[in-house]
Amino acid sequence: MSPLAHWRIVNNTGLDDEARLNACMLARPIQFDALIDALSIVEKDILESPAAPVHEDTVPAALEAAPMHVALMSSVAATPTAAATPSFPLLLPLAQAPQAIPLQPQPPALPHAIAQSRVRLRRWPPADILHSSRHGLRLATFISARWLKIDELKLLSGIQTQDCSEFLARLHEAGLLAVQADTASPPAEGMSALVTAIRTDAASASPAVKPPAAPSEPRPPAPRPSASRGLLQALRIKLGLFRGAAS
Amino acid sequence: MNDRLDLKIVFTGTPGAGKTTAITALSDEPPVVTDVANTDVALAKSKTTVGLDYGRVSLGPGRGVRLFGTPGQVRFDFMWKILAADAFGIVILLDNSRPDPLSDLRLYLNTFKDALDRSACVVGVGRTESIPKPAIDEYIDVLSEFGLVLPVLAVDIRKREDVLVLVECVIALAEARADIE
Repeated sequence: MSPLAHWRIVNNTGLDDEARLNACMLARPIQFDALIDALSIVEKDILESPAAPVHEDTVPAALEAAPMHVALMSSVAATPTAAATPSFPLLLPLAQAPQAIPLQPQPPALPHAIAQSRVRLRRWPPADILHSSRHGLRLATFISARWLKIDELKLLSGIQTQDCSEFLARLHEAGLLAVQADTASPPAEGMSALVTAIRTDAASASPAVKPPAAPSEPRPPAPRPSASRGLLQALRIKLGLFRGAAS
Repeated sequence: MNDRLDLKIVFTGTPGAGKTTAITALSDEPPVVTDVANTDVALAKSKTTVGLDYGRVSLGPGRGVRLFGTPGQVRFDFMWKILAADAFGIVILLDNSRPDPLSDLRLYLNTFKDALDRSACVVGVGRTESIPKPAIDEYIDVLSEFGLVLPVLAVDIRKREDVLVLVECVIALAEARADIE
């Protein structure tokens, strides 16, 4: 498995050490997540481009030539050896940057049966699980409020299926997920079908964040929208919050 | 025809938990506050809210989010339900340095029991770094007593980004509970 690395690029020209550190600090969740999203897209393009292959022990030539320092933020390696991870300074000259520092073990796989079922939080997750994914807070919030299948969670949250799946797997492993067998109408295809499925599921969502009902219990009545989605989206934009949710 | 479209978020919680601070961090304009000199020796602050705090985030002509802060002291609890009426979001702010913050949470959950059925609710706990006990897990236990699964987050309400995280949770809860339009 190829290691992935997130690089934070800092233009340090004319800055002393303290100013340079301050300059590279990003406030969560707005700037940090936006930057990581942008870098993920660039990284994907680089990895998929045959003209600019990236190997474990190399960096793109454009980065090497640039007059900048690179701070290694995180990387994922094939083996879960987080305990042996050495500490390293926040800012490193490129030549001194470690090649691949594993930070987290591989996420557990989400069982197929759960991936096909609606899930809901039994209990709010502890901080270590919540922060195991940069979207953990958002995903946990959604499934604290209603039963959702993974596709529905993706549609509502605007977060990629892979991220949803990995986070749900961690919750499942910790025993924090309640699972409800899908008793909805036969599956249809396409986005309209997914929306239909979520509309159907609205009839199964509880009117509040009550504990999950057992699968055999009748589904509580549908909640009515308590606020305009347009206003919520406008509020996200105004405050600079994550805007991945469907509008 | 009423062309105004407003949402309401209520910040409630114990005295000194940061309700006024949170509203100030979000409001477009300096908030309207009803702080007076504090005479309660149990509170380590010079002023305290006795009426309500009010701020607003404008989202364009006739559209916005109203932000209300409740008075913290229990003797003003008649204001709490009034302010929580029709709120789409309720943020409960607690202070871990209080004598019994878990009982504080129970008080607010009981008070807002009806509102929790229709509002998106989030719990923020302050001063957990200096006072680590009770742990966040113990707050989650209290919520379980009430049959609730709500976001519970350790926050430093002086940091705007922490306030935004709470608002983010409120919005996500509201989105989760709304049907797809």
